Amino acid sequence: MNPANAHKKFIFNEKIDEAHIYSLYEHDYTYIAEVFNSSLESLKEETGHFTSAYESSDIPALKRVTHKMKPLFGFTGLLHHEEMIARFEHLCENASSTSNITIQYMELTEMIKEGRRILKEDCNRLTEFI
Amino acid sequence: MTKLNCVIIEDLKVAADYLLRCCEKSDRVNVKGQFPDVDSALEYLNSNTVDLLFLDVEMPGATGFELLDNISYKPKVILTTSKEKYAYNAFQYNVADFLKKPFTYNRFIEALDKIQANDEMPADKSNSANHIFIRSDGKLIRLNNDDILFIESMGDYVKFVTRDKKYVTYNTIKNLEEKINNDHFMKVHRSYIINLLKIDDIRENDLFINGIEIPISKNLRADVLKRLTIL
Repeated sequence: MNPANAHKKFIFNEKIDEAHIYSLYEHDYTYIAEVFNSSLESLKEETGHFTSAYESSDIPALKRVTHKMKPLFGFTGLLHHEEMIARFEHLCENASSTSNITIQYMELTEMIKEGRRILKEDCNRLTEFI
Repeated sequence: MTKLNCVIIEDLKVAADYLLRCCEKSDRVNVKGQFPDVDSALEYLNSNTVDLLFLDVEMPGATGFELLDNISYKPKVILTTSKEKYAYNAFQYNVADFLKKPFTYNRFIEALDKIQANDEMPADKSNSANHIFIRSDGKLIRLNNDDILFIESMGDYVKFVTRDKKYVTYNTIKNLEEKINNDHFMKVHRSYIINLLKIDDIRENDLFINGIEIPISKNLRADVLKRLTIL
């Protein structure tokens, strides 16, 4: 760890639940950066599946990919994002067609983008911090 | 405390890595392998015995419950999932604990405590022998698995039935189900565990062993048929 930051506390983005992060990883910033990085890689891959599932109107696939993405937000402290994706997953369980969930899909797509941006920024800042 | 041999079956890398970290930090389990899907896990588990599975439910290909349907012995199971709706199935499969992802290290330790408090002895070591000892008439009596036809519940007691004799001992079907050799024995009703090798025939919701009629629970009938070689 950067000796200058040895006794300092990292300030996460305000949308990341700091208490939740510390409850999982304590103050192991190196590991937190690894989790953020690994989650970003998985999110990149799953976002592609999310888009293609929606575009091919494949509701079961959409449900599967949202189920897989959900804990990624949980592991990274983006708990509001996690809650939103859980709601979308529930919508998919009851939807008969993607046309019924278009608005929610668009909203969630934006939210996923925002989540990835937040994680990317904090991952970069963490890497400099440690 | 004996370390448990376990495997992690989880398709999400960050979750599998976190679980591995918890296992290593606890120094209470040996992680023998990590598998991202049911098929690769089953391939390992069919030729290796472990004490404990950390098992995700929704994975590509098949679910964690399907793995439990296809494994030939009964290790302890801790389910790791992000959906609480699986709690009922978990209960049916006699799962030891249920960790909702992401869980804290303290919650992980609680789950291990539950398992190790219930049974200091790893599950398979207690049920892989070809015989058991039961307490009856003030003695410890050895019964070879091959001699036991079935076991019947009698409230707080159970009756071990062989071709020649019957032995009554203080025990429960639930307790025996966990400890007796799973390769040969199976619970077919809340009051009966039978030796699968002794079935003479099956008719509708009953089976016959040595001329004795034994009921099969409706919810266990499919599992019983799965365990038989039907050509």
